[in-house]
Amino acid sequence: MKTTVSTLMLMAILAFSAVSAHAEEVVLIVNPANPLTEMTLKEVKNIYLGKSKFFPGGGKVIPADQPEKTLVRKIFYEVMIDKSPSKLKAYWSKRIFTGKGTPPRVVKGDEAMRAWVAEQPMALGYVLRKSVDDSVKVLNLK
Amino acid sequence: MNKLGRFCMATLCVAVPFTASAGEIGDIQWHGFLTGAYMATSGAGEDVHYSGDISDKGTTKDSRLGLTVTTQVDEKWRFAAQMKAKGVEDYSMEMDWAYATYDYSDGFAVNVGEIKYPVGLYNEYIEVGYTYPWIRAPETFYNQNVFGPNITRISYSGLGLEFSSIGDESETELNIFGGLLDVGDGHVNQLIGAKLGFTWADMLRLQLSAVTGLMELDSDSPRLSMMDGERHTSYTLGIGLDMESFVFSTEISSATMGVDEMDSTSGYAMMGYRFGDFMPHVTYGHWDVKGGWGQKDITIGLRTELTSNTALKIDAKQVTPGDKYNNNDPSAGYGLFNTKPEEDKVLIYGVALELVF
Repeated sequence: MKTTVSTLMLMAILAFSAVSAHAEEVVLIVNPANPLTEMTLKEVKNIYLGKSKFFPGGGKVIPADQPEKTLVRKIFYEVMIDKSPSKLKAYWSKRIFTGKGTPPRVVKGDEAMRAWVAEQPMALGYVLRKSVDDSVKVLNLK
Repeated sequence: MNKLGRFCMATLCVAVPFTASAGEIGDIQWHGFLTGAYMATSGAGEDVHYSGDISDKGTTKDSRLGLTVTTQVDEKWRFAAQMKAKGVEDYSMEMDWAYATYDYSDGFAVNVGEIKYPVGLYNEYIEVGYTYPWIRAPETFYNQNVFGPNITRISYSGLGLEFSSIGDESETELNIFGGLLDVGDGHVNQLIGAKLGFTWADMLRLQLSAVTGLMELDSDSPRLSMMDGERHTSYTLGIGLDMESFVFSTEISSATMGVDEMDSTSGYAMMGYRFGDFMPHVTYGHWDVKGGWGQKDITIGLRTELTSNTALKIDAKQVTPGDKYNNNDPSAGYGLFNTKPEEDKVLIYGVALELVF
């Protein structure tokens, strides 16, 4: 059975009392021209940790993050990536300073993220569901 | 900077204006690291220096600055380079490594250029103190002295093939590499090696490696000249465990240098425990050489996270050098000291501020 990323996220978010008061649905978005319709949690994690550089099935992927300390990023990393900020910093330091990869570019805010994904065929981003419109496509979670 | 380094920098300088205007593919990222360190010995005596010029007078020569640039040239090619300026080298800026990578797929990539020696759990980012607990990674294993402890901190010029496979909870990678290693007094030619790594749940790391090369040395030093034309071979095993609070790592290496007396084993074991932003740790290290020289040491340290990208470290290490001059040659040193220290056991202490940006 397939569920949307947002539904799973919302369920997980509700388990976190610290953020449940601000519970919001976060969804993964791609360019409408991207043929992909779904991804696994592991595939998303591998892309955001720089371990996968291609979309499932091929095609270069350019992931983007929201700024640090924003609620949408906090929700995304707690639920999807499962790494604390300090562990994430240590992880990326090792990859950056060996030339193995760099963290995703940062796009500031849902509106800017949506606009960037709408323009970039290789983009992968995340926003609050309420920010989605027809200019981007929401991915399902396998 | 060697010819390859200059070539890579020139390539980068030419590439930057074009890639910067090429849209998302041409994104260029700059990152850096900074270490401010003070270290001193106690009980070494006058004119006795420990590796990296540490003496009873104290030194800040472990301080260093590095800048790393990466760019995605096109869908498959990317380029990365790191420059560093170290106190022990009078802060002259030099290329640490610079190489291009062709990402054939998520499971296979080719590296070409000047590449950091990929053996050891910490060696590829050894200059970036923020990434490990100690002020210095265990010197019985990671040292400037290529012919002492078995791991070189420098880069090789050549080619690396990286195969990787990602499972649900695990990741396995194989790195086959070869080329030339410039060791100052000569070269290690026909360098070829393999590293097999396994990571489970981002928590457990196992690493096995084997490296061999032909030493071509042109030196007045008797201990170096006796290894000219000999084959250097080393085998290394590393285990790292990083749980929420408990941290453990150990590595051991066995090296043959073509001359019986120079064959050695070296290693260390470290345990630490995180109490919030504080991590006390203890490390035992050894470097045993068949000829009877080497050293043993015990380090107690504390790492404190000041911010998400800044750490403060305090270390105290007690070093017990072997009971013979290296290769029975006073000019060759005594353990990792330049000559016999006054005390049998020497305390080395220090404080360091580590930053990544």
